[in-house]
Amino acid sequence: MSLPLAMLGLAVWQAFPTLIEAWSHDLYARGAPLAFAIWIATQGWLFFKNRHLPAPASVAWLAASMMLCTAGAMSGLRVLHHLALACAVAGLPGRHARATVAPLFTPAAALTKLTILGITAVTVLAWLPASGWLLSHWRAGGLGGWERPALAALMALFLLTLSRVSAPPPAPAP
Amino acid sequence: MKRPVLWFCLLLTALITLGWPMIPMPTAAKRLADIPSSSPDFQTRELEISAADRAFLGKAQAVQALIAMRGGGRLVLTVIDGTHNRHAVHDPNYCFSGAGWQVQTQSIVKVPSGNAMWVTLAKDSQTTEALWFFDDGKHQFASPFEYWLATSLRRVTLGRSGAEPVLVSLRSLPGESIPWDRVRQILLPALGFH
Repeated sequence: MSLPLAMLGLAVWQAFPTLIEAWSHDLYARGAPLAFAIWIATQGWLFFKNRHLPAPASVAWLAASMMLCTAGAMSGLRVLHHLALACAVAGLPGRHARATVAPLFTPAAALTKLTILGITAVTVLAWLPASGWLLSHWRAGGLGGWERPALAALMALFLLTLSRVSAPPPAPAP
Repeated sequence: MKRPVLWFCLLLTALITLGWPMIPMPTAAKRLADIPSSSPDFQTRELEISAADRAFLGKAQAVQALIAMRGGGRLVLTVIDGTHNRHAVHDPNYCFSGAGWQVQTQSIVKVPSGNAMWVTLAKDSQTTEALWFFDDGKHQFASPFEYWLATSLRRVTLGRSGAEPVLVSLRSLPGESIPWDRVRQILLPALGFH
């Protein structure tokens, strides 16, 4: 069994019941399930597009997911389980994604990584129930329901526009 | 070499994730049970919690009562102990706002052993006022962030860091005038929040 998939299974098991509960009760989470679906589809597309690349798992994402999952269980903070899920998913295509974002606008590798992290963070905020707490300070009664998916779609578009199809690794010399 | 270590870490994560929440912790049930039903200054009538609210509260314990103060003024008291479901306890302003109430004014006010939040709310043509705070049996505070910190620390230490704070909310009936100074100085200590 693949280690990133096992971590993803644990994170899904811990995060999903509380995600569904929050999405179905919280007025500030309107549209969050669709934002989540857009995010998952984008990550899946990146993973599929670059499946020929080596090193599919990122130890940093895995370690972050494990730590967040442990901290979430010990503290009872659901947001940590949700972030653990985000890291577990990002850990699957993580290194692929870094390899496929063209350094068109961000020539330095560090900036490329920061761009990916920024896009990932904003998209995660779009489906994270905890972000509703921030919204509650801004607007009574919650949002219309299209804002969260629109933000996720915009970020996905941004990421997919930047990405390029990587060439398969060269065949080993005979 | 690295892979077995990662598998071991994952196993450890799974064990903690499964086992930790199953360790029992002391609750604030006694503080909820000790709230008096009457005194020379007020009378209470227990209110049944609706099925929808029960579903939302889950394993959290709550009491709700209508308080009639001597000399006038009626309030709805809600006290929630989130030991078994901390997520039933929210920043009350979040709940008010989520229910469509516009928080018009809010200010921190002094209560017997700390601070509380006093808010005025409006929805359509209705207005109401509310006072809320968290109480850990020794002091009161009005910061949801402090509540999250205190309850998280309590879960990490399995209850050794102190008593579970409960959420206390007092809301006036729409349109009724409440002597909030009397509430803070007389009613709250009489209810056990001193």
